[in-house]
Amino acid sequence: MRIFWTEVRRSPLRWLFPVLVCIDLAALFGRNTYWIGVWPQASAAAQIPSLFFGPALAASAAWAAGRAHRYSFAEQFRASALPSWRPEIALLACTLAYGMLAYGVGVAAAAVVSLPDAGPGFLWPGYVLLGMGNVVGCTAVGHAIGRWSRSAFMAPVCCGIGVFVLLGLFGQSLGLFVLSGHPQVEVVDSALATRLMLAVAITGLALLVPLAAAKGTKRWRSGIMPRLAAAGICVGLVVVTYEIALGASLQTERAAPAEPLCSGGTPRVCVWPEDRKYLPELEKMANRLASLPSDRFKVPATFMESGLGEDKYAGFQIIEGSMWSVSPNMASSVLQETVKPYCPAANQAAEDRQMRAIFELTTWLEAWANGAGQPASVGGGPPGVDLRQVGALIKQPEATQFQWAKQRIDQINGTPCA
Amino acid sequence: MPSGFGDEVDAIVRVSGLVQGYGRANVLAGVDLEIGPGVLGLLGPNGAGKTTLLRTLATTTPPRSGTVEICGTRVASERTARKARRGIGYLPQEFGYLPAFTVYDFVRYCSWLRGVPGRRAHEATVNAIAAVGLASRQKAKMKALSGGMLRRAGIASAIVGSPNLLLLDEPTVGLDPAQRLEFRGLLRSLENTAIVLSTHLVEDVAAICDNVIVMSEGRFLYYGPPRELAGIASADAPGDSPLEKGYMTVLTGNEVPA
Repeated sequence: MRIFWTEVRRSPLRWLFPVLVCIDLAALFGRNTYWIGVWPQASAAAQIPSLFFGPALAASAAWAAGRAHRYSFAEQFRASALPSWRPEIALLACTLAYGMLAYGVGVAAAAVVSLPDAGPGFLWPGYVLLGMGNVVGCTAVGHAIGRWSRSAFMAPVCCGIGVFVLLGLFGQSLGLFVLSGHPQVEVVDSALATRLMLAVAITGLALLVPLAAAKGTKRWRSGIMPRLAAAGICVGLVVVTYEIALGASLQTERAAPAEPLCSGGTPRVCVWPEDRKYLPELEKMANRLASLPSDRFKVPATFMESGLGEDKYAGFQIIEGSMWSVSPNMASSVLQETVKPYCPAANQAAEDRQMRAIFELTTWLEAWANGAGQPASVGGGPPGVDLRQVGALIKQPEATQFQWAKQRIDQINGTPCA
Repeated sequence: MPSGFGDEVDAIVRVSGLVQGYGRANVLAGVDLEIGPGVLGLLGPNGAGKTTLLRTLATTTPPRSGTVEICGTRVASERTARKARRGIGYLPQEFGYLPAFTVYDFVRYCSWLRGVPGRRAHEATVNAIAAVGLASRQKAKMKALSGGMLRRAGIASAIVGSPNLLLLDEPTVGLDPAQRLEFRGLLRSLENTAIVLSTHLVEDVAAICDNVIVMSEGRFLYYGPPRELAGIASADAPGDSPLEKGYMTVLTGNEVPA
C-alpha cells in the first residue's frame, strides 16, 4: 500500500489530473444540460465524459508506463524479486486512481446539480459503472502500450488518438457507452457485466505486457500458474469481446411504475417519476390545449409519457429535455379526439387536401401547446406545411386562429372516405 | 575452478560450465566460478563479457547452458530466480532511476522490488542512504541530484536490505576522488557479502578487491589477488602502475612464469 501512495505522490498524472477534470466537466456541461434533474439522464450524462477524457487518460497512462524505457529502469525491473505484475499493478492502480478521481468529480458534479430538481432515486449505478469500465479499459490499454513500446512520445500520441478513434467508430455500436438514459430504459446487468469483464481482461493483459516487452531478451521459464493465467486472460478477452459484439444490447425497456407521477388538474399529465422536473411545463402545455374552444376541440383526459400505458409505444417522449419533442404527440392526441377517425379519401386530390389539413393543424396545435412559439422545424416540418406561415398565424388574434383551425377541421371531417 | 574464498562451505555463488551469449555469438564460453564473501574485481576490455557475467549473476538473463547457484538456490526458472534475487543487490551499468521520486522513495521502492519485508524496509532504506552519505538529501528529488549523487543513490538502491551478493557494474563512474574513497570504505564495511565489482579503474581494484578476474572474449585469463597480478607484470608491458602492467601483461599473453 505504501508503494501505491508513493506512486500516487510521484506520478506524472498529478500534473495531468486538472486537465482530465477540465475535460470531464467540459464534456459533461458543454454538450447540453437537459439531463440536470433527471437521475437516469444525469447518470448517462456523467458517463459520457469517460469517452472524451478516456483517450487522454490512455495517453497519460502510456506516458506513465513508459518510464521503464524512458528512464532506463527496465533492467532493475527485470532484476526484481517480485513477480513482474506487481510493480505493474502498483503503477496501473495509481494511474487508475487518478482516472477514477477525475471521473468521480464529474459524477459528483452531475449529482450535485441534479439534486435540487430531481425526482425519486439517485444516480443509476448501471450507467456510472459503464463509465468506470471505460475508464479502466482506457487506462489499461494506455498502460499496456506505454509499457510495450520503447518510444517515449509515439506511444502516448498513438494511444490517445487510437483510443479516441476506436471508441468513436465502435463504442456506440458495441454498447461501450450510451448517449442518453431515458427513464423508459435501463442497463441490462449481464450486458454491463460483460463490458466490465472486458475492462478487467484488458487490465490483465496490461499486467502481462512486461513478459511481451522483453521480447528479444531471453527469460527464465515461467511456472505453470503465470502461463495458465496468461492463457485464461487471452481466452477471456476473446469470449467477452465475442459476447459484446453479438450478445444482448446494453439497454432494455423497464417495467412501468405501479404509480406514475400525474398532475392534479384536467387534463392530467402522467410521466415517469424520474421525469418529475418536466411535469410543471407539461401541465402548462396541457392547460393551453385545454383552453382551446371546447365546441371545436376535444382534449383527451390524460396525456401520458410513453411506456406508462398499456401500449408501451403510445404517449409522448421527452427527447433531450425538449418540450417541442413532446408537442407532436399531444397535438396528435387532441386531433384524434377532435376530428373523425382517419380514413383514406376517395381520390388523391382529396387525400392530399386532407393530409395537408391534418399536418397544418397538428403544427399549429404544437405551436399553441408551446405557448405560441415558432414551430420547431426538425427535418423541415411535416410535408407540405409552411412553417413560417404557421409561425405568423400563431401571432394573430385568437379568433383569427380559431377560424383558420375550424376551416381545417371542417376540411378533414368533410372529406369522404374511399 | 576460480574460487574467491578458502572454505567452500561459504560459497555464495557457484557457477559451472556457464555459456552465455546474444544472437549466434557466445559471450561467455564455459565459465566456472565460485564466489564467497569479499570483493571480487572484474577487469577486462570492452566486450570481454563482464556485464554479461554480471547480468547472468543478477539472474536477469538465463544462461544458454551451465548452472548458476546463488545463496544455495539453484536458479533454473523464473520462480527460483525470484527467490535468488531477494539476496542480490544489483547496480546495472545503465543505471536507471525515477526522476520524480525522492532519494528515500527511490531507495525504498528498490527495496520493495528486492522483496525486503515491509517492517524492515524503512530502517533498511535509511541505513542504505546514510551509508552512501546522502542522509541530508534523502528528501531531494532524484532529478535534482548531481551525477555523483545519483551514482551514490544507485549504490544505496543496490545495498539496501544488506544483500548477500552485491553486483556493481561500473559503480564509480561519475564519482569524484573523495567520493570514490568513501565508496571504497563503504565496500570494505560490508561484511559477509560477496561483492562483484566490474570496473575499468585499476586503482579501485588495487585498493579494495581481495581477488581479481581478468576477462577477455568471454574467458578468464587470470584469477587471483591483485598483488599477484601486479607480480606477473613483464617489464615492458604498458601501464603506469604495477597492477596496470600486470593486467596488460595478462591481456597480451606475455606473463612471466611464476
